[in-house]
This record gives sequence, C-alpha cells and structure tokens, in this order.
Amino acid sequence: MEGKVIVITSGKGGVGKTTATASIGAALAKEGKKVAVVDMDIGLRNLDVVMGLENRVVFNIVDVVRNKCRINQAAIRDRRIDNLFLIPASQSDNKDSISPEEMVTVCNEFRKEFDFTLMDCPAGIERGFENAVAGADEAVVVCTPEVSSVRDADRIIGLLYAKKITPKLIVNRIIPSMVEKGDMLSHEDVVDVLSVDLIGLVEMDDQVIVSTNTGSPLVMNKESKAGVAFSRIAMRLNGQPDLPIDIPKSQEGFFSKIGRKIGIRK
Amino acid sequence: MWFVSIIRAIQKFFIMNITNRPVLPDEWTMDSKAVKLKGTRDGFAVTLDSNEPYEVIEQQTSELFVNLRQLAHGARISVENGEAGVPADMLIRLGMFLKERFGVSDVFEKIRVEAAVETVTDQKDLYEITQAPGGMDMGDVKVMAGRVRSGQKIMAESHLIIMGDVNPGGEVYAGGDILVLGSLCGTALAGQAENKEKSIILAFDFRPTQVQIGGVVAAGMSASAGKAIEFAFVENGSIVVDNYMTANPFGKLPVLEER
Repeated sequence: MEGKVIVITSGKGGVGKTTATASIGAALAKEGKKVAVVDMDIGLRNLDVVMGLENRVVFNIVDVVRNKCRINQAAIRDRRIDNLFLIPASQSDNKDSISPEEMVTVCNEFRKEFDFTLMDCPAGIERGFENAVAGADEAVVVCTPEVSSVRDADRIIGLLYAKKITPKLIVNRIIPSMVEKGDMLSHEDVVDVLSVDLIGLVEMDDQVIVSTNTGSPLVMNKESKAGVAFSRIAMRLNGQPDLPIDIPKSQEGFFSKIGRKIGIRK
Repeated sequence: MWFVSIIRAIQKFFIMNITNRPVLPDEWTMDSKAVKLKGTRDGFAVTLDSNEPYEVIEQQTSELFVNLRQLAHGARISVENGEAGVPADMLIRLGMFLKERFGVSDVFEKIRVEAAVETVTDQKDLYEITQAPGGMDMGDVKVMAGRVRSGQKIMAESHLIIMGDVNPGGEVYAGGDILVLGSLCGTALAGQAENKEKSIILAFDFRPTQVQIGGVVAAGMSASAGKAIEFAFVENGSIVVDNYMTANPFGKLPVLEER
C-alpha cells in the first residue's frame, strides 16, 4: 500500500508548524509507522535543530530532487525513534531551486518508501508553499487563536481548496485561562471563521521549548499536555478519525471556581 | 456517444439507399429557415415548411429545441404548416423524435380555425424565441454559494448575492447591490465602475472591515450588537448603516421597479 504525503502549513510564521511536524512525525513513528519528516523551508533550515539532528546532515531535499542522492541516503534516522527519518532542507539554496513539478515526482518516491511523509511547509504563500503542497495528498493547517494567524490560515485554506485538498485544522497554543476570561479567541471562534474540520487542539505548553532546546521528541514526555495532544492528532491521522478531541481547560482551584460563581473573581 | 454516431451512420445509409434524399452534412448551416418556434400560453408552436425534406426539418427543430433546454421537457408542441397542413408521416416522425430526444409530452397538429382572428387576440401571449434562455437578459445577478476566504475576490458586473459568509480579508465587488446571506466580515464594494450610489450592501450579520458604495468609503465601522439584518446605503454623501427590517427601505416604494 502506498503511503500518504501530508503537508503541515499555516501561512503565518511562528505558529508551531515545525514543532507540530516533529511531534506528529514522532508520534506516528511511535505507533510503528515508517515516517519521513521533510523540511521544505529551503534556505531557512530548522527542523533538524528542533529534532536535535543538525550534526548529521549530509544530503538534503534539494539533492534528492536533483538526483544527487537517493531518498534513503538523505534520510537521517532519529536518535530515539527508529522509524522516524528526517530529510533536511538545504541551507545554501533558495526556494526557487526546486519546482512544484519536481516535488510531485519526489513525493511519489516518498509514497513508496514511507507510510507517512510529513512536509514542513515554510511560511508564506509563494514558491516554498507551492513546492510543499504540490505533491501532498492531505493538508494540516496550524493556527493559533490570534486574528493575524486566523486571517493567514483562511487564505491558506482557500489556496488549498483551489488545489483540491481539503485541509484539517490544528488550533495551537491555546491558553485556557485566557479563553475562559474572554481575552483570547476560543477554538469555536476560530473554527467558525475557518469552517474546516478540526483535528486537534493543543494547549500552550512550556515543555515545547524544553523539548526543542534539547532536541528530544515532545511526544516522549507523558507529562506534556502538548505532547499528548500531538499524539492524539497523530492517532487521528493514522486511521482513528473519530477519536474525541479534548478541549483544554484551565486547572483552577476549588475556591477560585466558587469565587467566580459568586462574582468575586473574574 | 459512439452509438449515436453509429445510428446516424445507419440512418444516412438507409436514407441514401432507400429514399434517395439528400444527406445532411455533419455541419449544417441554417440559411433556410424551414422551422419556426414560438412560445404560447399552452406550450410551444412549431411552424414548418413541409416542402423541405424531413431531415432538414428534424435538424432545424432539434437546433431550436436544444436552445430551450429543460423548458421543452413535458411541454405540449403544436405543429402547423400554413394552408397545406402537416403531412401525417412527418408529424408522426417528428413527434417520436421530439418525445424521445427532448421529452416533450405531446405533439399534435394545430388545426387552423379562423387563424387570422386567433393571431390578433393571442398576440400578447406570443413571443418569438430568438435566443437560448441562458442568453436572455436575466438581470445579470451573480449568485455564489460558499465562503469567501481571505485573499479571494468575487466580482460581479451587476448585482452580487453570496449565499454564505465573507471572511475577514475577503473582498466582494459588484456593479450593483451586494447581498450577503450570512456574515459579512470582509470588504464590500458596491455600485462600482459607474458610481451607482443608490446601491446597497446588505448582510444578515453586518460586520465589514470596510464598505464602499460608488465613490463613498466607510472604514472602521463599529460592529453593532446582535445579529440584526443590516444594510448600508449612501445618504447625503456618506454611508449609513441601518437595520433592514425596521427601516424597510424598499417597502415604501410605490411601485415595483427593476434594480
């Protein structure tokens, strides 16, 4: 059976595409799938750093596209998870070095080699986006509960529909206490505007920064709420689409709950 | 389609050998009008010239009926042929052809009783079909269903109806009115190109980032509370937003007029 190519995109930068790619990739690999994560941000390579594999980079995606090497030569095996492979971006080329047509061919190769290929799409809607989306079967749009991110995600969703891809949505970096106070958009507000299927809600989590700094997979940490959320997203992608979505809630104390009820606290 | 062409080929062969009639070329130009089609109160009236061979009549009738599209389905067709009357075999063949191909319900010969009187009295109900219904002037309203997302721009020459929402960053642009049957959160430009300042912009949930009517721009509008059906119009050179149901701007017009 041929594998799936899933592009992880957002439009806006800094919403957590790379973290999502690394975490979902790791979670899928932990479930026993053979997974490739591909950094498509050519010129601004960073997925290798997040995964702690920067010192092993030899070949990159541009070399694969140019047939300078085979996919399994460019693929770097993760330190902890055996089924997880990274295909890094080139740091010295730019996004015009490869074309969407070439990516379609390469994606067909990936489908033969891997069960899941996750494409970490660069920010923006230009050539880098075109390249990342060209060969993809499915798309996951990452969005934070901010108006700027929602606006960009909306644009991306429109572009994906134009390419006959129906995207799924991850709302990332939810701060439940702010949502409850009404200071942050809730995931319902986001879904209302974007009107696409939700595939996961990820809470703001300090562990993300720890994990990216140490280069250890977030999903290995059972304590991390974001890690658990990404694991569940991976399960939904991996043939369990009906797995219920947990809505992040703030862990407020008993007294503050009572205080809020009787109107002392906000 | 292949079986149609085979039937055509058999038909041509048959006609050539048995009847020795002229065979229609594949591309037939309608220079001689052997068939006329009229719409009446009861259905359609076909006037034909029985001096032409049946194939020509069938071809031309078919061309006219293609233009009718679904209007022909289930219609009653009266056929007439001046003073001479329609030859019986022609009527039967044409009837079978029209029923099979266009799904008309009935084909019969129109009996000409005092034809002159009838044409005078029925004049108002008759209209000559010269063009396909699609090409008729339908008011040029563009109706779109779905969601206008950020970065998308929907343009209409005349009026525009969006059955769905316009997201922030989306743009709707029309020569006439804009009606959004949903929420309008993006930019709406009505009455463009010709500066038609009598145009309106209406939405079930009116929260645009910017509206323009003709040359008048309104930006930074504060959203009103609640989901009232509101509309924007130009009054004294500036844009005013009002509740559509309470203002009822068109209910006060004395007669129906076209927009």
